[in-house]
Amino acid sequence: MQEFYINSLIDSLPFFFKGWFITLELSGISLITSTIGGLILGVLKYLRIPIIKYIVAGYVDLIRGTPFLVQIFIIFFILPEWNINLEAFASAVLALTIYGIAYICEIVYSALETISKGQVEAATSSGLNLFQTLRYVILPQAYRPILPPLVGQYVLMVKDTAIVSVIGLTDITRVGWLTVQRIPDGILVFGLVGIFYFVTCYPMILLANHLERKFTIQSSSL
Amino acid sequence: MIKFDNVNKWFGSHHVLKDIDLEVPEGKVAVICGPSGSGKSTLIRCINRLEKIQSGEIFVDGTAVHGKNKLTELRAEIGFVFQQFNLYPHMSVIDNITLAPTKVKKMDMNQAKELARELLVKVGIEEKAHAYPVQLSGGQQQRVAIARGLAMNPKIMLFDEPTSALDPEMINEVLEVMVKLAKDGMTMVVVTHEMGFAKEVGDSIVFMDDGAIVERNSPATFFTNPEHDRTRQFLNKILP
Amino acid sequence: MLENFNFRIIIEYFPLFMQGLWGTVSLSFFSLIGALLIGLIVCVARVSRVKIFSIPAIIFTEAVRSTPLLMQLFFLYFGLPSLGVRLGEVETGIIALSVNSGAYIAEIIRAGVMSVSQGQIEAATSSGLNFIQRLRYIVMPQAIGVTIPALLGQMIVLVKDSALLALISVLEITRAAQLLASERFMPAEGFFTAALMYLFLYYILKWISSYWQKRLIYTQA
Ligand SMILES: Nc1ncnc2c1ncn2[C@@H]1O[C@H](COP(=O)(O)OP(=O)(O)OP(=O)(O)O)[C@@H](O)[C@H]1O
Ligand SMILES: [Mg+2]
Repeated sequence: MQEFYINSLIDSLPFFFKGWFITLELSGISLITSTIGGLILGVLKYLRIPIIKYIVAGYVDLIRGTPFLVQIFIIFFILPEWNINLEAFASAVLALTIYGIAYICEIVYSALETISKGQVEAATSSGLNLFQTLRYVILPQAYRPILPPLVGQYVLMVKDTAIVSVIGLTDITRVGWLTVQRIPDGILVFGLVGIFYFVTCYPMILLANHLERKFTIQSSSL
Repeated sequence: MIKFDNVNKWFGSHHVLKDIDLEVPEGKVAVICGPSGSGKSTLIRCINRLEKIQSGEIFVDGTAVHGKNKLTELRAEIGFVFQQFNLYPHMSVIDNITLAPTKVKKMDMNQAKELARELLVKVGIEEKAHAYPVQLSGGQQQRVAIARGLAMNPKIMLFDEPTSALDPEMINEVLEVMVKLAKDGMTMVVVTHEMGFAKEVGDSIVFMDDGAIVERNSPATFFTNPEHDRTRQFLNKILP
Repeated sequence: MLENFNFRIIIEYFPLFMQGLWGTVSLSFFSLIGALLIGLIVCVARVSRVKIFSIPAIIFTEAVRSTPLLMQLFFLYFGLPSLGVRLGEVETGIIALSVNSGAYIAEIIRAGVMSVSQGQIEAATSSGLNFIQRLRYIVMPQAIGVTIPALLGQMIVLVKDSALLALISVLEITRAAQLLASERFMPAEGFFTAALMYLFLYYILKWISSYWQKRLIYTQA
């Protein structure tokens, strides 16, 4: 029986790879969109613009305070009621982006906070405008505290793409779910799914650890 | 009491202790000095096996330290005072002192507290029994650390630069406690550059350089008429 | 947009949502207990420097952290029966959550352990305390203190993660919303109510967390 399962699992491998590509595609696109959004929002929060500050804080709490599963259900089931019709993939990217931004914005904001206010004052009093100050003085210093937790956040997001399988996207987790109906050996099927996630996420975890070591050692020797 | 027998130690390929032979008889005080990186800390840390050695042997009270498996009793006989005090910040002064006696020696708590109070009197800060380490000055913390070391009723006390982390005005209060201990007949090994202390209670002064013992002499000879040029150069640098 | 929002139906389903709330709270609570136990054991194994303990601990943490909770949940849900282990959905769910959070908590505690200075450990070693005594009296009391905020953060994660148990039909907040959505075709009413309930739990935990942080700063000063 076990051998039969393994053989039919090997036959389904192309199916698994397809699912994996969906996972990668989904992750890749959402990582880019949410990084851009997170950077912008993080900087806005850092600049302490009165109204925006509260809007950003409320948005962040809303996203961090509710499960991603509930968010994706809301986007998938409720947008159509408001006559916004997105297909599953677009809904998934939208959900992941809205979700990712909330976390990345906090990472960016707390990294910016570590840079002393004196830097901003020095730059603006030497005549740089706000944009130039950010571009040449603040962001180049901020990438060190940003990068390690950002890569860590990417790992979380790649893993959270698994949840979009509930709206019918055939990512690697849904491939596992479909396969286990035919090959009823959960250890085997989801063990295989796990391997796909592992080879995707583990290098990123190692990278995050590496960046953390590199940047903390460098900054302490300054 | 303590005997180094041809001890060698490496950190990786770095040879940090070279053919060390040294004896400290019971009730005597050995003072170790030498430039930074010469291996003083490593040498003293080998005595209670905070560091392992690769060849030779160290005997404490006749027992081979590095050949032995059961370290607990041996360590209980040796008090160790660190440069950075290393008090436990989550415990009050009295809890710092009673921890090892009650947990290692299974001493009764009341008895341990009694002992702790006596020791605090001895180091001159009985009023701080219930303070926490952060509430104490450096000198007070180091005196608590000494009391903590004494609480196990050790036969030997080891000190690794006990006054180097202190502000100048606090150095004397710690040295006074150490002088008293020495005069009471404690066997001590002290890494320090406080030459006044060395002259007053040192029975022998050991000068280390680059992992080896360069010179070992009585204070009288060591300070007035050292045998080696290297010792002389070093003394010129540190003596006022 | 929300002009058709039906508050009546929410009142009708209120008892179900209350059951769901209770489900979320108790699932998270029991999973937290399980996760703390697993986390503590894995952390001690990892810092023990004994290879037969530390290597399995490392493999466990890294495997859990590089795969999604949903996959782990399915792994146990479909996998345990093929190993001949028959457990209910609730038990399977609690195990999955405990194992998953356990790996993260192990790392949180380990960071706390690492924050205790080497010097204190040497001082304890010098006065004759053995490995267990050093952990018990010196390292853990300090590690727990500094890890409380991170543990509360993990608790927030746990509450949200427990939503996934809806997918194996365990009754908790999200499941209640799903039932309302599918029985009455009112997803907006269901999922917005669910979101509100999660926010309620989130703010409670956040409040406790900031209270603790203040206390921590106070006691360190
Ligand atoms: N854990 C370690 N790993 C590798 N090398 C070490 C370690 N500890 C000490 N060393 C090296 O061993 C040598 C001796 O160090 P040690 O701390 O014993 O010197 P020291 O005489 O106490 O110096 P100081 O006066 O600065 O305290 C130094 O070159 C040091 O860099
Ligand atoms: Mg030293």
